[in-house]
This record gives sequence, C-alpha cells and structure tokens, in this order.
Amino acid sequence: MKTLRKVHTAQQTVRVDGEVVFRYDGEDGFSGFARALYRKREMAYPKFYKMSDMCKLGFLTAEVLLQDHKLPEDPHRTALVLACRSASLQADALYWESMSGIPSPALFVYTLPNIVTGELCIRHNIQGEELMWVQENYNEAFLLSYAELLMQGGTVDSCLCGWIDFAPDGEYLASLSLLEREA
Amino acid sequence: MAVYVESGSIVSALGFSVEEVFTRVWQGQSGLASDVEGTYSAEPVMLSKVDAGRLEETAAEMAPDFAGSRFETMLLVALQQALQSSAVRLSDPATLLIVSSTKGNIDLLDTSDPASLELNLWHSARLVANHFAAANAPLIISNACISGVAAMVAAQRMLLSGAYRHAVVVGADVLSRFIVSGFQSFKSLSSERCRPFDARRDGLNLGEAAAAMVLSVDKPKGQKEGICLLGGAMHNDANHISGPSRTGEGLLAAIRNAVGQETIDFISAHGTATPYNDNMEAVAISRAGLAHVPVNSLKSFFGHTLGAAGMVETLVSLEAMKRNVVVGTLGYEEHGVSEAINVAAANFEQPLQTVLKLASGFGGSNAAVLFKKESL
Repeated sequence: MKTLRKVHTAQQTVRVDGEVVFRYDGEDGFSGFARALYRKREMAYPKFYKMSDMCKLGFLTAEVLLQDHKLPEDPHRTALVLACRSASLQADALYWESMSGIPSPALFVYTLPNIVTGELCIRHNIQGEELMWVQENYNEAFLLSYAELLMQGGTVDSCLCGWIDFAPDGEYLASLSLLEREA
Repeated sequence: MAVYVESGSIVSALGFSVEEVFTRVWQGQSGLASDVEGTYSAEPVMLSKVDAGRLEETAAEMAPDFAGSRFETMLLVALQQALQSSAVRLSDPATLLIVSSTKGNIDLLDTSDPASLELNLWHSARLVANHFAAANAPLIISNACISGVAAMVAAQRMLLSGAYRHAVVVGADVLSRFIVSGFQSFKSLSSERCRPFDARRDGLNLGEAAAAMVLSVDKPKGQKEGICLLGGAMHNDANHISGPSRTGEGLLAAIRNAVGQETIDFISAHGTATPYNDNMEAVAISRAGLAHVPVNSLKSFFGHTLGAAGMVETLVSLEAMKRNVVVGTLGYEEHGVSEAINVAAANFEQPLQTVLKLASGFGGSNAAVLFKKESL
C-alpha cells in the first residue's frame, strides 16, 4: 500500500503533502474559507451550500485530494476509511435549535457523522467499503492498518483514509490520504 | 482460522436476555406500544421502550458503583450479560471492544451544552470500558443504521488479521426527543405498528435497545455445534444521502461479497417498513438470486433501534437458526414490494445452516453479514 497524496485542511489553510495550496485571510472564519475555496475551484455543485460544515470540510478536502486523479474504473473497488472526534455534534446543535420551532428535515439529515461519507461517495462515485470511526484523538496508524486489511482482503484497490472533524466550538481539521494497493 | 460467536445479550422492550426476548418474539409479542407520556413527542407515537425501572435495578445489581447515563447503562448491562456466560474478559490484552451507536447520549442535549464532553461517543465508550478494566481502548463505529452490522464485520476482520483473539461488540441507542422529532420531520414514522414488506406499510417505528456479542477465534468448548461469523461487506449507493437507491445497487454488492459461494437458508432483512427501503431490499435480494430464500423483518417487534438494530436482529436470528425455526414477520399480510421475494408471514420450522443479515441506512450505506453453523 502506498500513499499517493495527503491533504490537510485546518485554520483556513489547505496543504498538499505539506505545501500550502490555498489560504483564506478573510475574517468570516470557516464559512468564508469554505466559500472562497469553493469559488476558486469554479465548481457547479449547488448541493454544497446545503451541507453541514463537517460535510463542506470533507468535501473540499477530497476535491483537492482527488484533483487530476482517476479512481479505479470499478467504483466498488474504492473504499473510505474515515474517523472523527466530534461526530455530527455541530450539526446536532443546529437541528436541536430548530426543534423549538418547526424541526427541520434539511438539518436533521446532517446529524450523522457518516453523511460526509455519503456526500463523498456521490460526488466521486465511490461504491466500495465505507466506515466512519469515532476516536477521542486522531489515530492515523489505526486507520491505515484498517485500510491495509481491506486491501489485503482483495476487494479494494484504492482508499481515501483519514480524519474529518468539525467540533461544536468551531475548531476543525481534515487530513485525508489517498492510498493505493501495490501490485 | 474462523471466528465463533461465543455468547450474546439483548436489552430491549421484550426482555433482558436473548432467551427471554426470543421466547416473546416466538409468541408474536411486540415491544411496540403507543406512547402517550409525552416524554419524546407531544403527539402519541408508537415506540419500543426499555423498562426504566428494570434497567436501573439490573444495573444496580450488576454494578452498584457505576454512574452513567441511560445509554451508558444499557451498554453496561448488555456487556455484562454477554460476558457472564463467556470466559472472555475485556481486561485481557487479546480482547478488543467495539462500540456501535448512531447517537449515543444525544438525549442529554436537552440539558447540556453541545460542547459538553459527555455528548461524545468516545466519552461513553471510555466510561464503560473503564468499568470493565478493558485492556485496549475501545473502538467506536457510527455509521447510521448499518453501525451494528458494520461493527461485527470489522470485528471479524480484525480477529482474522491476528491482532486479537477475542472481540466484544456492543451496540446501543436510546430514544430521545431529538431522534423522534427528526424522524417525524422526515414524515417517516407510522402511527400504527409498522408492517414490513406489506402493501399497507406507511413508515417505521422507533425503538431503543442494546445488544452485545462475544466473538472468539477459539472454538467453543463442550458444544457439538458452533456458529461462525463468516464475514461481510459494506457498500455505498453513491446515490442519495437520505434515500435508498431504487436499484438496490449498494446492498446487492454487499450481499454478493458477503455470500460468496455459500448457500443462504434465511435472510434477516433491514425491513424498516418505509415504502422505499423495503422495495429497495426486495430488488437487491431478487437481483442477488435469493428471491426464494425465507426472509423476515423484526422491526415490528423492536421498532428501529438504529445502532443496536443490526445486532439485536442478528442475535434473534442466530437463536432461530440454533432452533431451526424461522420467525414470521409481524404485520406482514399482503405482499407489497415489487419483487416476489419469500417473506415469512408466520413462524415455521425449517433446518437452517446459514443466516444472512442485511442493513441499510442514511448516507447511502449498505451492509451484509453471514453466519454459518459448524460442527465442532
């Protein structure tokens, strides 16, 4: 198993293999950062605006990770091995607030940590194994070893592996690696 | 090397052990009742609730010093019950603990700040792991309604990798205003007891439960027959975040990968009784060439218990396999899905060697896991 590329998103900055590729210096925090990066990439994906912050974070990080990369032709052979600390607590709090009025289905749908997985699968047509782990602290070694297990199992050739966390206090970090099975 | 099911436990509206729960299910009793107390919803709503008094009494007897939330208490009781009849101990470094839940302590959001540590799944898992002096940090899976099935599949993989000799898998979710109102906002709840695969089905019911399973690579001692967890698979539909794929693509892939060359004797479906889910499952089962295989749904007994569902329904189905019986689907009368799958309406006896358990959920997730009897 080899790592083709690693993308790290935190503090309004995106790094590819350690090198800064995008930085937002505005004052609108994560939402300003996310909007600026989305616009810079000239995407037409209106669903983006409906997403929770956790989903936007994962979505944008995966856009950079998979840029100019072709996933295996068979969509069943790409896997997602992801983890987070805060699950969907930030989206949960937003939905909970809506409960005092008319509870919002559009907010409720984002109250699961694996919705970001679903968003990535739809965007990149990934139909393989997928699992969202919850970890107190980012344990990359564990996720890599699990991805390795999947590849050894013979049903997976390519894997997006890593961390997507958006805490209720607004702190966020995504760190995704693109892994490939070695022949 | 093989992975054996050593023991299991269920904490639910229908009882506090697999034995007790299975007896009630076999008698056709449902844990679902119209709840008018107003705790979870201003309007009456069909729910399957765990008896609060009995839960507290059982926990106090098992662990007088344990102080945990309702969710954590359910995890504790399920784990203790499953471990009682097994030699496996969580304090053994060769034992892995996996916790499965969709929402954990979300009921506490009514009174806690969203940033409170107690709302985190890892916080609950650690509390329970510490109670059992677990040697390894617990692993947690939160993958919507496939969480329980996914946890068993992941456990089997990690055991076969040689990293551990034993795994204890526990799944739980509790009822909350949060979850009930969310499903109400989706208009996916039925006002009556749900009717899986039936023509008149109009939605699901919610429930709460916990279930635990002890797995080991050691052959069970003193038994002629054991049950092996042969493996499973998860596949995403890549279609919609809150609706199932009409073609059942992801579930079909999961079934194919889980089944391999095995003959399937019985299928425990996800069968939530929403119009779309049950039809999608019927399409996937039929496309997999399993339309003739007896299939049931247990949702009309337990409601949809979310992160516990896969494990509760697996344990009931394994008990049925041991007894060579198929449990009928309560509420199923008139076939109401597009494919002619073989839905079991009533209980019957039949020799069973294999059980296939299915699950699907929000996020486009699908999972299948296969169990087989083996002579020892």
